[in-house]
Amino acid sequence: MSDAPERSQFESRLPEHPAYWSDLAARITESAEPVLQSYREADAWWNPLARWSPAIGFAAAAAAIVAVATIPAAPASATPPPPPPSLDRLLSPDDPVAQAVVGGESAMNISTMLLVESGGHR
Amino acid sequence: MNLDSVTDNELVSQARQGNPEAFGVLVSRYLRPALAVAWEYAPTRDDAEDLVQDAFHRALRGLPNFDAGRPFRPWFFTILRNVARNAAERHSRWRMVAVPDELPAADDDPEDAAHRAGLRASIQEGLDVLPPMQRTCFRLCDIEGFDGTEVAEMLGLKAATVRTHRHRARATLRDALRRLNDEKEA
Repeated sequence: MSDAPERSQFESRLPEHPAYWSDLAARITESAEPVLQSYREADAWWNPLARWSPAIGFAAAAAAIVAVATIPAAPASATPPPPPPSLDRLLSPDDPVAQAVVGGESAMNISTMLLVESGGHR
Repeated sequence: MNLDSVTDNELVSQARQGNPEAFGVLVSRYLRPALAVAWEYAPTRDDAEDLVQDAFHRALRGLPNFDAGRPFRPWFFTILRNVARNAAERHSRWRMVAVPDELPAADDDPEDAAHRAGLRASIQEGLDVLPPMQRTCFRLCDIEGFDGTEVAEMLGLKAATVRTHRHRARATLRDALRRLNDEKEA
């Protein structure tokens, strides 16, 4: 028995007349007209905007550049800002250890700091 | 512009802009396979036509969400199968068995005609007892003449699965024919 002996016994149930298919296609397309119409209307609003979008983009970029270029620079201050205070002025006035550590010419050892703290009394 | 040679996705793009000609070409391109698939779910051709129309309308309404980088055909047939399945669930009288509308043609030779009628009835009987997917694959490929790969896409199956279904369907039908021949010779 061949591979497909049944084939000749069957007939396609799909219509063969081209007119049937064109009629059915027309029916489907015509009934879809409201949806197609809504797409056309949406497109009519969007298309001009889309067509001019490169020009609109270019104009927006140019406007941004011009705006940045024409912003006046901040005016220079007439008086210079005061110098930062020295470190020893930031210390509490009655802190002899800190005064000695910060203001001393050489690093203090720990025993000297203890003497300064106690006012020289052991 | 002749739209017949335009790709599906270009037609989709134009249909999305409301071009009825583009949508019409898209419909014409897939109408025959769509009706063949729909008829596997619907009991009559009229019902199948309604399913196809519904599927095309749903596809049209879904175009704004369609990924233009993907092929149209599998997307459309997925919609069609969903529409058909939902309709089949709604109509309990629908079965996944479609019976030919036409009876065997009358023949000049009554004996031949009777034999052919018997043969057809036997094959139809075999078709009717096939599992639905075997019957569908056999019918679409071997009766309606669609390519196996195309049918796989229409049904959302792998090509190898379609081949397997066809092979099993043929084996069942061969047995049915053998039985008929044996009965005739006996």
